[in-house]
Amino acid sequence: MRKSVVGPAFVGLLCWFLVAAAANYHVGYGFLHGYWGISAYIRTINPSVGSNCLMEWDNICISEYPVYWIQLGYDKGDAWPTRLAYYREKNDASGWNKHLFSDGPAADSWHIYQIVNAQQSGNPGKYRFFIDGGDRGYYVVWPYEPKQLSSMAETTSSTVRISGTEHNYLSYYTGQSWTYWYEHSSKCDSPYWIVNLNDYWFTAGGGG
Amino acid sequence: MMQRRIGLAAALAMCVAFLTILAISEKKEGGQPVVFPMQLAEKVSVDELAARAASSGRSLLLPKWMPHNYVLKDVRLFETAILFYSNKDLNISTFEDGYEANVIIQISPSALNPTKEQLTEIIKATPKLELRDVAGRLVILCKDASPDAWMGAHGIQPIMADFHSGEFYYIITARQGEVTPDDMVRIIREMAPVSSDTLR
Repeated sequence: MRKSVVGPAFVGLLCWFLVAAAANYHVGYGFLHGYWGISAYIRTINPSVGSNCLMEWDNICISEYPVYWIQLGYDKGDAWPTRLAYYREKNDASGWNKHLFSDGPAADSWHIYQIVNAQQSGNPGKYRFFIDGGDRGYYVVWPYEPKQLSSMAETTSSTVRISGTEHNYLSYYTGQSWTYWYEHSSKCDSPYWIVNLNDYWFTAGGGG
Repeated sequence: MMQRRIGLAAALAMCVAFLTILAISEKKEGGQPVVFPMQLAEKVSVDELAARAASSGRSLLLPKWMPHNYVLKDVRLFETAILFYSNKDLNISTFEDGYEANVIIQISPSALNPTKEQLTEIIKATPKLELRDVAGRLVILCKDASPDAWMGAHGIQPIMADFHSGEFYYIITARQGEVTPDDMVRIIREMAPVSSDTLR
């Protein structure tokens, strides 16, 4: 009798733990068009994260099933619990990779994060990364055509306060120039909040 | 003896839990960032999809053959069209519901028509990919694509392929073990303009 209770209870606890471990919180905008580049002007916040993580990023989705993407932003809490670090990341058919740079943004500073496909290189799977115009390397990914763009704040726990989050001048690359997003779909996981200022500008906060 | 067995079973379960959490948490940081907003996507018939493609001067290709008697169960459209094939009933109302399909085809408009040389550059950088000529279509095949977070948590290993045709870009995703590389090649070989012969 005892065994029949302990087993399911353990399995239930395990499932809850796995689900809880997998859940991240997202706040921001999506732009449901496949353009070959994204640019976002993102304000840096520097909350206490404890053993959790904060990421603010822009992103190009290259497949919906499976969900594959290319991402650029800054991070707090992944490699260093107290330091802000720039990073680039991809998840594609060959697997996940995150490259943390040794430098990072200062609190309250603004920076431009750009991801652009480098078709002219002769490799359509090559995406280049730029922060404030500075070259931050590249990934070659497959599949490679963009499906949608997004720009968001992400935390691994709702205890992370994201007050002060602001993403502005969200733009897509036409192949020749940058153009502001002309529509958006917003995503906001509770307990966070978002203010939709226009199609290319939002502020967000909450948590803690 | 019984206590020892229970102890061993508990230890094994903890190891599995730890490894699973490790696998998920690796992806968690930087996270699975975006999902197709199923509630914003339009549910369309295959004829509507073909008509919209034709109105923009494009010819849409759809499969005439699928393994295991999979048929087209649902079509969702934003800019990308997502087609769900299965041999069981599907009730797709959320993004996660879509994973229940056995074969998923993503179709998006594309101005690209990459050359063999350009695709070879991708292959060079990603050794697990293969470039094949299937009925005159340059196809990249990945027999063991990396699962995303949902697939990883559910023990699904995807097999994938892509190609361009008629100003559309196609990505086909299936489950390894259910669909073989030869099946995938046959699906692509037998894709044709929408007609009464294409699966629906």
